[in-house]
Amino acid sequence: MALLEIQGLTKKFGGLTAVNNFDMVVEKGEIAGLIGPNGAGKTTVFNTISGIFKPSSGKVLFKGQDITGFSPHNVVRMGLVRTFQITTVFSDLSVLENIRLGSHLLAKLSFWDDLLTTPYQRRKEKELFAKAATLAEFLGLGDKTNELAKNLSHGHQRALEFAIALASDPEMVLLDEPVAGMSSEETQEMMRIIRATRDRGVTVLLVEHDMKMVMNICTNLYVLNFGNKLAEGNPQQICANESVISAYLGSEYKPKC
Amino acid sequence: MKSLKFLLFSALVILLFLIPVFVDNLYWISVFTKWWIYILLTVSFWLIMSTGQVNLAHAGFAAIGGYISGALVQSYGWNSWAALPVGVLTAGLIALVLGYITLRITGIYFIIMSVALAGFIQTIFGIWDHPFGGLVGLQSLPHPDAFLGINLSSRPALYYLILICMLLVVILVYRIYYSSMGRIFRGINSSDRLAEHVGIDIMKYKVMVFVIGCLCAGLGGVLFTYYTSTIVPTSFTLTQSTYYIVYCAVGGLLVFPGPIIGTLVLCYISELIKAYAEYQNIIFSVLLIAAMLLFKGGLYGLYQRFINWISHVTKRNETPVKSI
Amino acid sequence: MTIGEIIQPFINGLLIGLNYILVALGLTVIFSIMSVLNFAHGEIYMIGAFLVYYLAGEYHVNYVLALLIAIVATGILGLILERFLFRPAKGDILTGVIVATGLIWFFQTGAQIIFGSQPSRIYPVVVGTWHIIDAVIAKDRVAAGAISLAFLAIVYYFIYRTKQGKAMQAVAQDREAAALQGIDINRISPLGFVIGCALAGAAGGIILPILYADPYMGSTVLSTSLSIIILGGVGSIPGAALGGLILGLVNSYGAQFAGYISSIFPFVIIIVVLLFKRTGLMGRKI
Repeated sequence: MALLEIQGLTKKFGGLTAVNNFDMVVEKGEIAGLIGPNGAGKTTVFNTISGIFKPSSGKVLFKGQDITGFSPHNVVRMGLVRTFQITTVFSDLSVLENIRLGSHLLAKLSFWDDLLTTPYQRRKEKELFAKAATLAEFLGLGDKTNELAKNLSHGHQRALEFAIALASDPEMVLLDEPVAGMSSEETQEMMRIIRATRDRGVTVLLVEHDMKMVMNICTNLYVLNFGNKLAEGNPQQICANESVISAYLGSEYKPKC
Repeated sequence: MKSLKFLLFSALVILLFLIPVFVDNLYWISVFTKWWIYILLTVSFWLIMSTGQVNLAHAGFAAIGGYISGALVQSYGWNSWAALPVGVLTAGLIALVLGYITLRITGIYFIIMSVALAGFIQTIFGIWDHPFGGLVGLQSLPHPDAFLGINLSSRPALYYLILICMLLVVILVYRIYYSSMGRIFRGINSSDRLAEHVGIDIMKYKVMVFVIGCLCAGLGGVLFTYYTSTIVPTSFTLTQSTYYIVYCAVGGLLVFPGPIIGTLVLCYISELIKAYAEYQNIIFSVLLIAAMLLFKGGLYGLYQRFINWISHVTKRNETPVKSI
Repeated sequence: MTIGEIIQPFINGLLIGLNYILVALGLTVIFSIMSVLNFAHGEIYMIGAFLVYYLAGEYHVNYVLALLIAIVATGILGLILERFLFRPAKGDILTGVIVATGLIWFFQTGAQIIFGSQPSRIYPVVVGTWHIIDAVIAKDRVAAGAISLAFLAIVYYFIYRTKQGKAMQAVAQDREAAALQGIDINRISPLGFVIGCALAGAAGGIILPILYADPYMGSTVLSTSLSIIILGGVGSIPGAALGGLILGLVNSYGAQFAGYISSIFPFVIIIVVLLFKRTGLMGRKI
């Protein structure tokens, strides 16, 4: 079943067309990849899906519903979360608090619940902090739960980002360059986590430049170049695609097949 | 730990209630009363600041509360207990409307907007002679009317009234800040982009905290009119709002006791150096800049570091004993 | 209404507007280069005015010389402030606000202690008036306008025609790109601050013979400058120029026809512009 569908997505910034008439379908249970040379428009696609930008034209459908132009918090409400190209965490809060905030929508606490510390509030907080601790373990942060996010290493911050995304029990997660700046061990670990996430029923769409990782982990690929869709298909098909190869020539990220 | 805090707090509250019993000096009772008003205003300002919004119009909202309630009493003969909620709610309502319109604006632009708002409010109350008294303001405002038969015209009575209001606001802010709401505020402050992407409706929360803070400010303004029996356009200026920032910065920006400690310390210093009142702000400015650049975390931060250092030192002394 | 009542505020408005532009320009230059809004900018203006008062009024130094000294002094002050107060603040908005608040208190209280709260005046440097139909134009205002214009021309030349100036433009547009091109931010930042403060000091010194100096003149000037840069667009020099003239006219006509209420206009402008077109009339960047 098509979980995320993008139809004719176009995004212009003044005179510049960052994304042009882009179509994409991500099936439930997939790990799909959006690749392309630098500046191809991949993050713009993400920003338009997650609600940071409104598209100039086109539609975004999630679970069959039109979420085009929804504001970010409403997109998350639908069960679609994302991470960012530049590591984004709540730097002044602890790891545990960070993940707990990821579960914001699961808490459904009212003003009075908080003010009066109702039994419901107490129960929910306990439950969600326990969940946060579990997620922290899952992402290798189990021993750092009380560390302030800003004091973590880059790799751990990336992991924390992922934990925050998973904390809302999403149906789908968009990962923007999840292994950027990581060593090969860290990349292997992240790949394991992404696969484990998919196995738990979360559909994944990622943007990445690390071709080895992308070819290894993705079931389906979409290639963007200068905002236009260049090709789509499974990794073998993409590797053999002439236009994809020539698009990457001259850029450092050559598809390794 | 929690019950210890509660015990300490209760002891403190009882102490505060007993002050007029043991301190016969009406002057000092008056001074403390003034401090309670400042704490109320600073703590509510601090709550708004926890989402990253520096509301330099905070004093302006106090002015709204004070002027509306004062005008209703003096120019229209209302009972002060009817005028008080109207004054407070007016401040809250204006905050609600303004909040929805302006809180989409963030960062430095919000600060600039609040500076403009502060100036606007200050100027606007000086325009009409009736009912706001124009540039002269409202003078000779009466004491609050009796509440449930209790006469409120004496200094000690006013002390208790204002103390109770201050404690209510302090408890409210404490409860909010240390709940999941407070965590949301801190998250918004840390990264509002990420906050929206975990499903937090940041506009809703920013407006909510803004309205709560401004309601408290309005209350502070009304209490101010009880305390000084006057209100003039220059009672609640932009400079007043900067006092709140200063109190927070000196006491500690990120922890709850911070604004309270900062207010008490600086108000006390201000009282001490009354004879040299002109020099007060110079001393404050030096303290302030030192607080921001040298000992971050303010006085409370220093206190925390001191505690850490002590436990460090005592641990070092313990280890040899344990290893025997 | 006589013609004079229309022309006089117009000319005076433009003349005072030129002075406003100087201050606002200083503020916008600092903001676009350092990303910090120096809320104490008005106090620098005040210091400029008092320095000239002190030199020309108390010691009878030649006015022009006093003005130049004041400009250099406020420039040096800018250097000190940048190095020791604003650079450690590292672009954190809240820290910047708090530091600026401390500076405002320090300078205002200092000025009050040294010079008292009453306005301090010096003897007019230029006397006489011109008459255009029935409008009375004071020669000293024209002189002030002319000097302001001269300084504006100097700054314009510096920013648009010199290497340093172009480096400043680059930093204002994109800090990282500028650094990559080899521009030393640690030299441009202080330069921006020095220019910004010198402009404010100059404006204060220029206005002194026409008005007076008092410890609180900084706050009105700050409000006006904020209004100008918001209206014109933060970071835009042409915007500051346009905004300055508009505000000069608004204040001039406002004072003539609306009295006390006119002091509300700068605030209304800020609020309205921020709500509807945050980038102001001329958008971003120098």
